[in-house]
Amino acid sequence: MRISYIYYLLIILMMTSSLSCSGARESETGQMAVVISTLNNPWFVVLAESAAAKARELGYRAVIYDSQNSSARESEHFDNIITMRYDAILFNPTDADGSVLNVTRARDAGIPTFCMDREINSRDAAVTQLLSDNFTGCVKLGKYFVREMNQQGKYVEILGLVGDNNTWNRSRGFHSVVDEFPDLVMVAQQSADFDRNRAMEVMESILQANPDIDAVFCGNDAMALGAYQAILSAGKADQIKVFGFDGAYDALRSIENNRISATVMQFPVLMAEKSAVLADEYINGRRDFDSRTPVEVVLVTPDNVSEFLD
Amino acid sequence: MKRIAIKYSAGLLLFLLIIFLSLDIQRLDREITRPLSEMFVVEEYVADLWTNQLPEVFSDAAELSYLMGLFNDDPEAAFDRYSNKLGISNTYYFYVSGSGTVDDIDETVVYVTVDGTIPVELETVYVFGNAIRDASDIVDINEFLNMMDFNMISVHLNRKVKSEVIDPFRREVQPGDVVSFIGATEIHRPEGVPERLNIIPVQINISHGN
Repeated sequence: MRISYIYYLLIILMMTSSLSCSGARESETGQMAVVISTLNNPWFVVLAESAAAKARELGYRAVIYDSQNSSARESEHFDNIITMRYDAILFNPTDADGSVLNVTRARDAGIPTFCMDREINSRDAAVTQLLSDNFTGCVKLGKYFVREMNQQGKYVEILGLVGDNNTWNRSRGFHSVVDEFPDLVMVAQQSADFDRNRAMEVMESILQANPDIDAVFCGNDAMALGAYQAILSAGKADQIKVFGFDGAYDALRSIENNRISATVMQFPVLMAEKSAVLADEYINGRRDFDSRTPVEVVLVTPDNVSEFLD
Repeated sequence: MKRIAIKYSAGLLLFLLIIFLSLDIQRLDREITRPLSEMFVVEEYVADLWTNQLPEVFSDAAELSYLMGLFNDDPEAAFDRYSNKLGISNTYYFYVSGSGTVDDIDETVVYVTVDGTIPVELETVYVFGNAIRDASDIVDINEFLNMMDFNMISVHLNRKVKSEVIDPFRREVQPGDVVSFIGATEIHRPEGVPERLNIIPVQINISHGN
């Protein structure tokens, strides 16, 4: 008889717990989750820490979640965030399509999401998306590339993650200019996943098949630095121009030292801080947001690199 | 026995109910699939923009002599009344109109002196960027599913202007000709107005010199 009562008591406790589905909030202080695609890249570390710091400055508790470039890990983070009833999510997606469902789940649970740097393919899942204007940045880079190459030559393109819209915004922005000049010929195009070491390996293998190229355009500075290493090892640093994207400090130093030809400066701190500010405004009642807020990027060449260095 | 069976059956049903209430099953393709009706056809969008919407914008272009005077007297007003920008940016876009004499032609631009005093260059090769789209302020970023669709508008507008307006102009124009134009230009506000504005012409008329 006693076992029956215990049995039914357990059932009731389980029902109560699942029906409320509330999870415990650790305190009454507002809280923001900062979900980042990967903390294995210094650029994203800056994005994450800037967002968290601004959130804390605004009076929120902020926790950084690392998705490790995994959609599955990202989904787990969203499960926890929804259960713990965060007030807002500052989000750097792993995949433009795959991440939409996570943001939609958060929205349906009453948690607004603000995308940073990378977009999701949705008009209304996120409250707004703060994005570097990658396409326009690579149009600027493409014009500079064409002039530096005197409208002719062979080049290689090293792409970032293929599931990231930024990869294609940058590539298409670049090609929207360069493809108008028929004497500029792309002899190889391959992805190195935005990774420096991977880019070095890709460049090494491309150089074996195409030893007489004149330039390489890389979808980010980490890959540009990796490609440069391969080019330097092959003894072709004076022959091949290297172009990147991001405005990473190492790349700026390389431009200053005439190793890398140009990059495009993004402003991750601005994007991250603005995301936190907009989230705070939303929490306090604002609702009129554009679906996307492009953030201007700046072409950096040897002519102006000193403006961006300490 | 019968009572025990009923008890355990009820308990099992209750357990299953708890599991059902704890799970939220959603279709994976609910948000990912883009209906055909939503597929963006940039050529149609740009054709409609060019034919039905932009002509009115062109007719409201700021007269260049007046605008340059305003930059000197009240730059805030010049930017506020006649420019547009996109998002967080220091680049401002204008539509301008003017008329002047062709001084010279090089590989990429046509040099013109507007109203005898204002040097400008009409771009004929590097027709890229967002000036034509964003100076108009009629393309709403909220309409688009992603930035690629939005940016393709600039690509197609630029190509249209290059092939239908600029290339024929380039083939015909000679030094000494008088040209009347409407065009889009951009100014990076911290740097101020350049000595020679680079303008992408969207409408041009040529009067050949003697």
